[in-house]
Amino acid sequence: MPDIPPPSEAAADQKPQLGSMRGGSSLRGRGRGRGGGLPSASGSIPNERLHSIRERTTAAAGVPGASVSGRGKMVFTPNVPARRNKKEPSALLLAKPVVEAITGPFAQGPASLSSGGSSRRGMGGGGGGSGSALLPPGVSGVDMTSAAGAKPESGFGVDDSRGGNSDSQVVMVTDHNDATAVDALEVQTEEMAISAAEEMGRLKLDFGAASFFTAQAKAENGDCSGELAEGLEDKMMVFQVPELPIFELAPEVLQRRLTAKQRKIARAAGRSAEAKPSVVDLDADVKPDIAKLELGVDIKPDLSKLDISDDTPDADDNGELDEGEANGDLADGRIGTLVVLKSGAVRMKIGDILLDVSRGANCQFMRGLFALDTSATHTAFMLGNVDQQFMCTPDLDSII
Amino acid sequence: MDINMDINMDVKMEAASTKPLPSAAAYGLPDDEIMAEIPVFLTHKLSKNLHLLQYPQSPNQVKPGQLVPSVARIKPIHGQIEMDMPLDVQSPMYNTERGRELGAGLSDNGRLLDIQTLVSVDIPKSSNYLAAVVHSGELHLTPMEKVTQLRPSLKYLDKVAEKIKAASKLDDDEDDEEKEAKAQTVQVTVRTAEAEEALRQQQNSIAFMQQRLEEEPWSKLSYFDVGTEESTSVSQRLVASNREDLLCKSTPDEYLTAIIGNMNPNV
Repeated sequence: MPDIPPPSEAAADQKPQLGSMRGGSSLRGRGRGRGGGLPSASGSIPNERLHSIRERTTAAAGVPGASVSGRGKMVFTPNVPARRNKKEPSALLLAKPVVEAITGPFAQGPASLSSGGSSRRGMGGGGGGSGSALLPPGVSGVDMTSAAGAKPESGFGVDDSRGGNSDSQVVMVTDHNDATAVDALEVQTEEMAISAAEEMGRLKLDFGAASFFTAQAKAENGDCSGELAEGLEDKMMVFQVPELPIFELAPEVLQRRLTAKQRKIARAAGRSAEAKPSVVDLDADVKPDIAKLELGVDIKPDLSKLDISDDTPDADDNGELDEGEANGDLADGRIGTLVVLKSGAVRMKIGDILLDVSRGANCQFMRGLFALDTSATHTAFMLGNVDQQFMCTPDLDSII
Repeated sequence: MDINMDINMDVKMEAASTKPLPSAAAYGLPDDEIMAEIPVFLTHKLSKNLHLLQYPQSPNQVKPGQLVPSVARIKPIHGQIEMDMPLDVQSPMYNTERGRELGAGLSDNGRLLDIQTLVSVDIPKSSNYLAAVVHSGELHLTPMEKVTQLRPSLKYLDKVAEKIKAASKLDDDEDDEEKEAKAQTVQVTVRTAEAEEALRQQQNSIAFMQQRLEEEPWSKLSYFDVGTEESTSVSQRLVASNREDLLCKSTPDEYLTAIIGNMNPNV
């Protein structure tokens, strides 16, 4: 390495000669680092060829953060610590049971809990309760009253002799613990379902319909009396059915009615024929008996012997049953049976259709049954107030 | 001997109480027992005349005889009924002043509003209703014709409003003459002949029916309350006179089809 003259002497003697510098652009400086053409440590620019950047930088290799690129330019690469790989909280993690291992001096919970053992006792055994319980591992129903006499070393009333010190892990059971919450939820759901089913059963067998028809309906033991209720014949009811089956008279009944009608017509015709006098001529010139006239006897014909009965058939009655009489209009008779069962159920079988009879909703307003005659005389007959309405539901099990 | 008789009686009672009840297997519940059987009869004597009248404004605790109309009217063709229910004007709850104001809708002679007119409204038939009575341990059913509700008519309010309007018209007679000379803009719409005809038919169908209803005169309706001799004799027709069994023409399948309708028209 050439001797470098002291800076004071060199600066006085040498003037900077820019033209002699190779590559005037060297002052511009290539790269980011120190460019060429930098004055030497003596303050003057040497005339000889400048050392290449590479050479200079190798000399300055000890400078931290400096590196050399491919073309000799310095690249500043700071020492940045590696980027942290942050773990995003996934839903799965949140759904996992939060079973925390609590360590440290606070593992046994607040001092108030540790001092009052009774409050802890109740919480110890209940899994899935609304609150949480701090349970030492392997122990349930912690009785912290003994903690009062624990060693004072821990300062928190913890009995270290029970196999755990202040640093022992404690499993905290919370509502988020699937192991207990799911079971508890299932228990609650099952219990609720059972109670709901029992309530529904009680509502169904409320003996509403049965108690209306029979004298007694004991809800406690489920027995129903076979006697009909008092005053049932004075009550008016309404039955609601989705559809009324079609009924018709039996052939023998139809024939019997036809025969009866024909007899009735014949009887009426014969009666009218008998009632008529042989010759009743009101306009005839009846010569009165002088003797009766003198006595004042009434000689007018006696019309009281004429029998005008109500069952005289109509003039257009041909002795046959019309369609209405033969089918539904006058088809009245027995159609089935209504039974009250021991369980309190009421069923009605009409024809081949089985119906379940239940009490309808209570009606708050008045309902009246009327018979309106709008034919000749416009008359309304109030037959009575409706006391109870019943709903008839077809038993689909028997139909399908 | 007395002891033996008592023992025999006890045995008989025990036998009667322990007598097995008939099973309800025929009624779909084989595990249940029949406690009471009531034969069911059907009759159609009053089926064309039976109406269920509902009084939504009256509580169901009203006893027969408390809701008797003073006057009843009917339009036989349309089946509309009107009943004038008397009001207790002597009641301490009756507002006489207001009653006199509203009474102007009934007449012009200062009459109090002493009646409440109920007009019938037919309820669309959604199910089958049968009136039922128990007679001699038998249940007798009669199909009903229709269900009708009786609701208050407020026509007296319309008449009061008309009177007020007529009274105000007399005061504005002078202004009316000036208004007649004023030109008025008229909006003209042009419709095709077919649309015009269709619109006319539509308007006439409802208006015509309403007009026909309004034009039908009221007929006096004789009212017989429950408990009277006439009503008692008519109520006896709710009991079937024939004891024969009727044949059911509807099979369970046909009955189910009648309820839910024919789901598969190809069958």
